[in-house]
Amino acid sequence: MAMKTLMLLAAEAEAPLTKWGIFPNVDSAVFGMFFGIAMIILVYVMIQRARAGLPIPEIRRIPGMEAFEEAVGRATEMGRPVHITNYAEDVGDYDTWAFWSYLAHVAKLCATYDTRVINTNTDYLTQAVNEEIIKQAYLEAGRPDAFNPDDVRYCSPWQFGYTMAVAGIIAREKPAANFLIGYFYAESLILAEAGALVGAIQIAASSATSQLPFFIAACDYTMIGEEFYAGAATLSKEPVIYGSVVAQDIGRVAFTIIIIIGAIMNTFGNDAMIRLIMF
Amino acid sequence: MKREVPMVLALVFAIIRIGFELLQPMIAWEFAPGKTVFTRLSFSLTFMSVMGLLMGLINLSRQHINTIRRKREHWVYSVWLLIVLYGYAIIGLIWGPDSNTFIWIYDALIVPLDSTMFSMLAFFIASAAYRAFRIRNVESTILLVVAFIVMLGNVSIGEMIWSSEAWLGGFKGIKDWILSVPNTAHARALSIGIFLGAYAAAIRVFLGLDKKYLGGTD
Amino acid sequence: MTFWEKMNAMDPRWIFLGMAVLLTIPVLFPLGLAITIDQETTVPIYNWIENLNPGDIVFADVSYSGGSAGELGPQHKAWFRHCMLKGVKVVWVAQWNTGAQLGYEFCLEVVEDLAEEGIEVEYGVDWVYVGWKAGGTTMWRNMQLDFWDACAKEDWVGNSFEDLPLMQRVKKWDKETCKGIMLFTAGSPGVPTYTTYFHDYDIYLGDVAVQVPGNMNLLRAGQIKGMLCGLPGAAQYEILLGRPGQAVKLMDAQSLGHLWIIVLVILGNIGFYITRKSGTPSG
Repeated sequence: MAMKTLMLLAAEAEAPLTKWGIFPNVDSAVFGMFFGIAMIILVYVMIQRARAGLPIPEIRRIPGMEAFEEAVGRATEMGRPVHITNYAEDVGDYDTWAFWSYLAHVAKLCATYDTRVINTNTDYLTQAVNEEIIKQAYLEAGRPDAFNPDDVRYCSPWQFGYTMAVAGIIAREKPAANFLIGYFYAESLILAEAGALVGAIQIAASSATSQLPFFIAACDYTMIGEEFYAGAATLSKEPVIYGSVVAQDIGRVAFTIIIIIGAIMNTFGNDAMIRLIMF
Repeated sequence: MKREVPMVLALVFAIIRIGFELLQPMIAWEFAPGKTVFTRLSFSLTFMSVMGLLMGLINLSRQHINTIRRKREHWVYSVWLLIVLYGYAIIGLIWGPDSNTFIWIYDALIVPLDSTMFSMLAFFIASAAYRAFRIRNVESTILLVVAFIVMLGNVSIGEMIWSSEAWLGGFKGIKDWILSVPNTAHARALSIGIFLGAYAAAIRVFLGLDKKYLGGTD
Repeated sequence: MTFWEKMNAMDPRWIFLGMAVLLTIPVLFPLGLAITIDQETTVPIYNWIENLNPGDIVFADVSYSGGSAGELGPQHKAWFRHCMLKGVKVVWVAQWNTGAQLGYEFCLEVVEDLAEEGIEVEYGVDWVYVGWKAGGTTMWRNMQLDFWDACAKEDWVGNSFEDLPLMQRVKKWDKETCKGIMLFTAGSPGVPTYTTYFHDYDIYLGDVAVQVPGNMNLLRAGQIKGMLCGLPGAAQYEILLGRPGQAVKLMDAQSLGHLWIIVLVILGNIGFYITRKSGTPSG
């Protein structure tokens, strides 16, 4: 009877408001916190090792990264501009942060080869940062006068307004190289086909999985998923950045091990791993 | 100083934001009964983002006024852009966004233009597929066969050719399996990789290792 | 130049013309091809509404604009019609400002259709259109914390929440009030807003076809409970409601469009094979 009463009380009791008194009662709150701390420590350790010159795992070369110079070189030979854009994200987004590495790299190449670079934007704040990055690249190349702020263009915050503007710019300016880098939606294929119609060499890098098939079909080189972030890190060639990429690879191995162990445990009816992750 | 202050701010706000998501006392922190600090801070972000729109307006106007002034190629389009941009804004300001004129422009121009651009995908998918889908090796053959099955499994004509009640569930049955199993496996693998890459990128920015958001190239 | 070489170098405008013709013919002269109902994606959404009690409240989100209205509009209308017929109350929000007005107009169309059939639906009692509010994902987090405050206590057409009887029951966006969320989405902001901040709710998706493969893992993982997949999803829902409409008509066009792509790819490959055999570089 006592047991039955206890069970009834337990059933009627409301779910606890917090986990351990301080974490909100949502899935993975505690696990997420510890995972986050572990990743920060891992990134910090790998960066310290890289700085100290201690051995850290090698990163494989990402296909497509070498093509940047080839594409800008081709544009220079043809006397045509280079176009680079990321569509979807604002200044607070990690895709934009990764995009800036590519933008800095392309802008530096263009400034060095004295080739015009056109950047189109859908976010007004991103556009402001892009302008600074390109200006700085021209300054570093010793050609501050060659920088044209009108080539860093804010098109529209509206998806297809932006798409129309960029497709029009590609058709009119006929860039010899078209870089589509960042997060894209339905505009991906329209922009890639607009580039293909003017004969541009096209390089795409995106973490938008639903758009990757379009890029693969329409572009000459496509960096998929995580390659987009790893490529951004390797562009800077700094040991600190390299260290963080190694850390994320270690994180990926850890995830794989957790998935394999969890799948085996779950197959045999033990859900401890699931409960641990969901805690 | 010009670089240090934003870097410190980025780190401080990242910590505050994490706290507001992961620590219950911070989520529930009230400055007045029923009014949480988090909600107020979020509102300020909303106002900042709306005010930032002005920057876009200034940039767009500057760029197209320059084009008109210097009579660059296609400068007439720039005139048209400025008319439409300010015209629509003025109509909205004078008669309000729920006025008939404002809504008519939305219904009669914006929606059809939007639909037109989206529908161009159907044409571009056809031309891209014609140009790029070539049987060059085993991988591209698999890609092609899978594409055919998924395309036919999605439409009625596929059902007519090989019914879902027939062997293997017809095109639809195989399509469902492809979407549910290999496609889901690939999406999860990519998502985990993307998450880790994004997470590492965020840590780099918050720790001040990646400073491109300050406008530099390093 | 041989025929196949000419085919390989074909002007893409011929491809566009073929596509346009094949998409237009079935719209004018429907073929009436059969449509199969998808048990794993469409039916769970239908059953969700069927199993709710009259008076239950659900939230719905318009995260699309005119571009994807061809696919999501018929979904939106069929689903909203179902809710109204069942007496389920709907509170609409919109993550996309460019589609908020369109979503409102779709709702009005449904209400007018129902009125013609003699079914009266009252705004403020049976449904409320809160619409778009500035602030992106952060705003949705605010709505979760304090719905009235975040929405400035005003709906899309300027009515005060105080004057809308339904909103008296929706002081908070919590699990007690909301019996599920239906999201019609074409991109960002869209699904992540809900899978991140509303992950313990029953989330259902109305998706454009291109995003279906990308969101299928969410369905398998149980993060979303059902999904209307593009135009076929809308057509299936119309059939489940016993009222074939716009989506069913357009499915024939989609069939022929797919067939055209398959024919093109086969022709392209024959050309590629023949020209490669004869040593001419191509494609």
